[in-house]
Amino acid sequence: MREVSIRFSGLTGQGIEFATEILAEACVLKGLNIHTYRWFPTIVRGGYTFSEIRISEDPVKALADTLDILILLDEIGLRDLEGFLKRDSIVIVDEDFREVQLDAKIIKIPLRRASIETKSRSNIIAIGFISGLLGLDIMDISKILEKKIKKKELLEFNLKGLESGYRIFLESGLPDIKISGTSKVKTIVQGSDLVALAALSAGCKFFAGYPITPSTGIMERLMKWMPEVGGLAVQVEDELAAINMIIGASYAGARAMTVTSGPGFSLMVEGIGFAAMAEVPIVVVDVQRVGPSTGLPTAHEQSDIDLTTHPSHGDIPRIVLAPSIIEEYYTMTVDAFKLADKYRCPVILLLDQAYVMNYYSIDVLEVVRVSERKTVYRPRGEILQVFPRYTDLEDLPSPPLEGYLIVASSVEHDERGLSSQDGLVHVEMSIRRMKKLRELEDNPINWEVLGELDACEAIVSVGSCRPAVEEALSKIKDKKIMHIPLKQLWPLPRKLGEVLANIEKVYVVEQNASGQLLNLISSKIPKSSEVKSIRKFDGHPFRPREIYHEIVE
Amino acid sequence: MEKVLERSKPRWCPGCGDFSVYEALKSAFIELGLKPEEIVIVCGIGCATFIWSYLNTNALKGIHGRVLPAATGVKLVNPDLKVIAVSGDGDAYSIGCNHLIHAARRNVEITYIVIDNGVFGNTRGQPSPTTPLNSITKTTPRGWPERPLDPLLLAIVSGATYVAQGFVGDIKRLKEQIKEAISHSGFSIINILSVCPTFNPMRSLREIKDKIVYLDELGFKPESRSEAIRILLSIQQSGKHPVGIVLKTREPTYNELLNTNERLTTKIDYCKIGELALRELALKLVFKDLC
Ligand SMILES: Cc1ncc(C[n+]2csc(CCOP(=O)(O)OP(=O)(O)O)c2C)c(N)n1
Ligand code: SF4
Repeated sequence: MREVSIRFSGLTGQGIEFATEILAEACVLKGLNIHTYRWFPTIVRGGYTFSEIRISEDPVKALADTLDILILLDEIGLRDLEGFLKRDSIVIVDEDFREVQLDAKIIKIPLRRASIETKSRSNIIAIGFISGLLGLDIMDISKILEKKIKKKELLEFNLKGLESGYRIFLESGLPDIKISGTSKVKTIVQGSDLVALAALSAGCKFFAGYPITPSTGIMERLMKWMPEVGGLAVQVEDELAAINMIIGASYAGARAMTVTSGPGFSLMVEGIGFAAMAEVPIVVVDVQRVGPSTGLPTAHEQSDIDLTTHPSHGDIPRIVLAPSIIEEYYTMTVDAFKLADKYRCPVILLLDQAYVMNYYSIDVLEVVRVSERKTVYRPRGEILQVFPRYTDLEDLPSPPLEGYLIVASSVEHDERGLSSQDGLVHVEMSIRRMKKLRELEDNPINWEVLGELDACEAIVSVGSCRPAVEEALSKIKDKKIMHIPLKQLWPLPRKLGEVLANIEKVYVVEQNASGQLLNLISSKIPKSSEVKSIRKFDGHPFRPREIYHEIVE
Repeated sequence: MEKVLERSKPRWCPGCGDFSVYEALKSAFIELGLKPEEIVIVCGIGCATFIWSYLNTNALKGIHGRVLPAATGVKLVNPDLKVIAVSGDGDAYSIGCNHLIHAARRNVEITYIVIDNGVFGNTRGQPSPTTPLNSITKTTPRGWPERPLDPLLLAIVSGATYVAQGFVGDIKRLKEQIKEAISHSGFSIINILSVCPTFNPMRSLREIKDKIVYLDELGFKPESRSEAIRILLSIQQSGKHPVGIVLKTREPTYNELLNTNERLTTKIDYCKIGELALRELALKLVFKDLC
């Protein structure tokens, strides 16, 4: 067997996520690839939650279509199983669990009893059992527990529990499903890690934010790491403060960013317009969650496409990037800072909850140099001048600049930033602002066309839909289909229209109810082509089979 | 020097209180010997905030009510800059009031000049949080059913460390207050009693002047928060306006608490980042064209 997928299901507070984290760490030590997924409610204790891990010898990016092992720590986990169990799936339940009718192999083990005996918890017993089943090294897991559990007594109980679970497996007589690793030790990261790390390596030195799920992880990392690289990170009173503070910071000479989710982004829009008008570079991260309004705060959806591509009143230059694979959470965050400085406008990183909060295995990360902001030396004139900041100069000066004053303004202004009520100045400056992004329209960053280039059918996907589409396509052999993971949502790449020009059928894959991506790109789809919109908005990411069925029907 | 600080001829309605603040601010800069390049005026929206156009300094002209966060961003990135935030009473106490509480609480080293004319001048005559109860205005034809806010008390209880009230009819005193506020380590706010003859004709210089009580003449020492609150409450009860310094204390500033006194740059220390990635994430960074 080349891969295994496992789900722990039960209640929050049962250590469900902890269980997958432990397994994830143990797997990467063996050189295996992993990808986790977690469903959790807003309440901290007693709500329905599950956590999945897909383990494979080959790189995996999408969630698994089916489960090989399901561990039910509570009856509540009997939901969300439609299509997930196969006849040979193993369902592990407590020996006292009520009779369940599932078309799978049900295995009863003394989860509860063993946890009481060892003063540990059922999740640890289950981990012990599964490590036997998968042939994972129990010493590896002990070491991971030692790292995670600081209290000595608690650690001892857990180690006993682990061993007990392992023994229960040995005594069960079940055959193991060994999955062999590689020699290449990896590590696990969440999207949050990569975004925060990328910000640092792009020279971001100022962060201001207000906590909101699912973006808080990025904020927590930046609060911890930023001072170590000579930067500053602060938590502020609200998102209005956050956006305006990073504008002040960027004006004063630092690369600056904030992170938020839909509700916070909604509050920031006036500030985004201000940054665009004043031509102050900023990076704003929106980790999408289910809307509208408070929605499902902890679940996955891609319904901020409309909002982020049209984030302000007036005509504003803005760049919206949506990374499509986990590695791009690093590279495209770096790109965001580069583009912000280059075009002096807000760059919005539109991210997915699914990537930000889940774990992925990764071995190394390649870092590319980002240059410092520069101010070309200018001799001071006879008199103090206001710097012509709104011409096409390359540099980005900040005060104090000997002999010059720097003005950034939300009011319509001339080339120095000084207010003008002249309609013709507005015309000239509007053209300047709009013209900025033409270059990006022609040369979009990270543009990729996957699959068959001479195909008559094409899929356009956004963000984290990509791996599920790729996996679905790998199973379709009798059709030629091209796949465009659209990563630059604004300005829309001209190439998109060119590539789709001769396509007969276009599938648009996205995770929202109204088809926001489809609306966004509809002008690029030929009138003659058939369009099929593939949408999912139940709070969970796509599984490959769901896309496969939509395409094959 | 005076000429250097004048960018263009100030334009407000005749008799507008903003002229006096402009003069006082300009003289304060000159007397403190500040270079225009090291001053940043951060402004919100409203007639009061036009001041940035007329004074020849660096400027960040922001959006309505968000002056203090923007100013805080500037100060944190470059502690050497003198950051002067300017608002009207609407900008400061209505739409932006929340930020005032937090900027004061942080004791961030900004001088906040609020020109309090008791009305929304720029939108042509609606009530603000400092407009008296029952005032008839354009949007309150039956009278304003709200009691006014006391900005000085608010600033004091929020944690500001320099709190003063100025008056546009007394430019000399105002200038001294501004100088002191700029030299103060910590968050300083001057609420300036002002007039808008065009849209708040009920409130004249004369009317304000008649009600002024000078704190220094009372022998008041602005050294403690509790004394400041006490005197404000007692003057308020008599229906008068206190003018002078209400509070001046030295407490740790935001920059001090954050342990930052150097200008942040965009320099990148890749080796440090590499160490961090390894330690925090067990992740190896490969430097392609570096190190
Ligand atoms: C978000 C937003 N809402 C409303 C306005 C309209 N507006 C401009 S200035 C102002 C009030 C100004 O009053 P104040 O701050 O007292 O300044 P003054 O004009 O009296 O000096 C308002 C409501 C705006 N510019 N932005
Ligand atoms: S409307 Fe009032 S505040 Fe505005 S300039 Fe005229 S007098 Fe001054």
